[in-house]
Amino acid sequence: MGKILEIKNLSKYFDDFTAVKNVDFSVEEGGFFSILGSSGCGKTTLLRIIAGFQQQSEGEVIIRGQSMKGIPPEKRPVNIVFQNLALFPMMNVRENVAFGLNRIRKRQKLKTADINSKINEMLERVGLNGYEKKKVTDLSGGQRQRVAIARSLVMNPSILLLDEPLGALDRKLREHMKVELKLLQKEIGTTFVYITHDQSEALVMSDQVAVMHDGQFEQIDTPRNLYKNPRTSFVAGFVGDTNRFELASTEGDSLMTKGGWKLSRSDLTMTSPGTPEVFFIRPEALIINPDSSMNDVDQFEVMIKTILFDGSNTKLSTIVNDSREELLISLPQNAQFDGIEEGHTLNVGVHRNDVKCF
Amino acid sequence: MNNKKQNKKINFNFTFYLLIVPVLIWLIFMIVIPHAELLISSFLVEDDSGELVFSFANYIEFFNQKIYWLTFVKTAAYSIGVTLLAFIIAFPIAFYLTKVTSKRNASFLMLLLLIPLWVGELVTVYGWMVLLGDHGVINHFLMSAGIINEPINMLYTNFSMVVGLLYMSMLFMVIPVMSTLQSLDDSLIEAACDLGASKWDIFIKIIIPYSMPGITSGAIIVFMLVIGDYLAPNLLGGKNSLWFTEQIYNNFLQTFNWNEGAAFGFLLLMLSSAIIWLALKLSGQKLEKVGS
Repeated sequence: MGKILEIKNLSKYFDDFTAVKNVDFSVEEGGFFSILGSSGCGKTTLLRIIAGFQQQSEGEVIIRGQSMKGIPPEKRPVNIVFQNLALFPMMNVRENVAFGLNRIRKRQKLKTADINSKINEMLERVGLNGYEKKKVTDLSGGQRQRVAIARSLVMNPSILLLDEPLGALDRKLREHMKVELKLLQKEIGTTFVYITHDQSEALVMSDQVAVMHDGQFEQIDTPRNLYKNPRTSFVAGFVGDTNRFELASTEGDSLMTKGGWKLSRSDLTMTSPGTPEVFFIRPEALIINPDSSMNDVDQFEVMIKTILFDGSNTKLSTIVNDSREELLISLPQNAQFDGIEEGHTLNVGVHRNDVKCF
Repeated sequence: MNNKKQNKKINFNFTFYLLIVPVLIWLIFMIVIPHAELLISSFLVEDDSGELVFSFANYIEFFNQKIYWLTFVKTAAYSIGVTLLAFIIAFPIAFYLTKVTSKRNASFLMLLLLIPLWVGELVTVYGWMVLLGDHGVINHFLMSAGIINEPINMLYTNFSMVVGLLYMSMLFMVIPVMSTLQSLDDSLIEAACDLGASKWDIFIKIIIPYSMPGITSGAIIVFMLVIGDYLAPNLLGGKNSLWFTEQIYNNFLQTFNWNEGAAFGFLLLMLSSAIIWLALKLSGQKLEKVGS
């Protein structure tokens, strides 16, 4: 499998700020590549440059080995699913899906029968057969989503670009569509480039995720690595829930956080050389009542302030003893921890590899 | 408790009548009664003894006199033509104001477009007479530039009449089209472009269908204004303009045949309603949707 999309040193300057700064990456054919970042980080600009709606200031967009310089959006082998879906309200479902094929039928000498069978196949694939004559304004959110995806996929693009397409859906439907989209991508094998601010979407669906911050890529990695081994403090803080501690003094071997939590230097595994400034511990990395025989596990005592009950996502809000530092600890909902109550003191431990410092 | 509730009910009724009464007065006295009066008088003619008797003679007269129904057909055809021209001119203006230029520019340009409305139709019609006359501004320029030797006869022709009608009605096409275009999301245009549509495709398949409700309501207003206009055909079209409103005017104020004038008025009303109904049917638009 070759590289289908290559972005080389791409930058985009506007009058007074830089939206995209030296972005460099490539996407494998058939992959699901996500760009994750908070709003305003430049991810939409990047996507629009790939689609051809905006021109880069510097750098190159290469699709299937061919530079896209000067090629207008309607001639690029990519299609985009817009954030607001941009379905044509005056057309029914079938007309929406047929729109693109009818535009290129002359150029590609398509026969009406071919077009019809392509549309039927696509509507079936996204589960919309029987809805052909419905107005798109009469559809539910999830159905509109499927029309938008079908309308783009029926064009058989080299790359499908998706601009936060699940943003407008309610939570339950979004969870459902996430899985559906992933399965659809696997089934048809089209390369997806997906941008989102929702890390769960990016982590669940993608083969590769790029975390974008202030116009730059912080890290490109598999979802698992991104979560387990963040390379920068931004990624560590952005991806997943985490506890963040800033170090105030680093004299010799003894370290102290701003909240007065004393640790020894050997407690921290350094990912980068030099003096650490900040470290992160994920709530689920903390072991409640660890066995004293465990190797490389640092143990300390915390006081339980409140229990934040949220089903499988329940957490303890605690204070580290002899300090003001707050620490969130995941509390599995099983019989082992039923006795835990507010106000108790708890012995917890963390494996050194789970303490990430920068 | 009970008392309070009753008071509230009375208050509600009072407000309701307060609001409905002016509307009813307006509808009954300004629209229903005058039209009923006209309808009745259109079926009356004076007999030999000067008595008014029921008859279809006023309507029969219209079909017997060639000049009447020729004027009728010409008025209808020209009104449709002017409506089409108004659309052709107004659509790019509306598109430019909503989608191309900045908001600040747009409101300034809108103000300029509104100026002719402030001064009234009569003044703008006289303005056009000054421009189009044989010794008017345009002919003067063309002659002094050496392009023509003889002045071109523009005033008191169908051309000058159409110009006047367009000028006074065009804005009523611009505004409703603008309001539908404002709600057109730019991403629809981008989506069409992304799916391989050319500029022409986008215009024909996306922009025009999307703004159809605005175009239809603009077309109805322009058509009604034009078909019922009197000043522009009379002053700019001259003696030969043959606009149907002039026939009505002549009946009422020159031959003092009010009954025939009433009949002609009703014919005009039916004509314009029929054309609008037909246009709505042909364009597949619904009046409720257009009105909103």
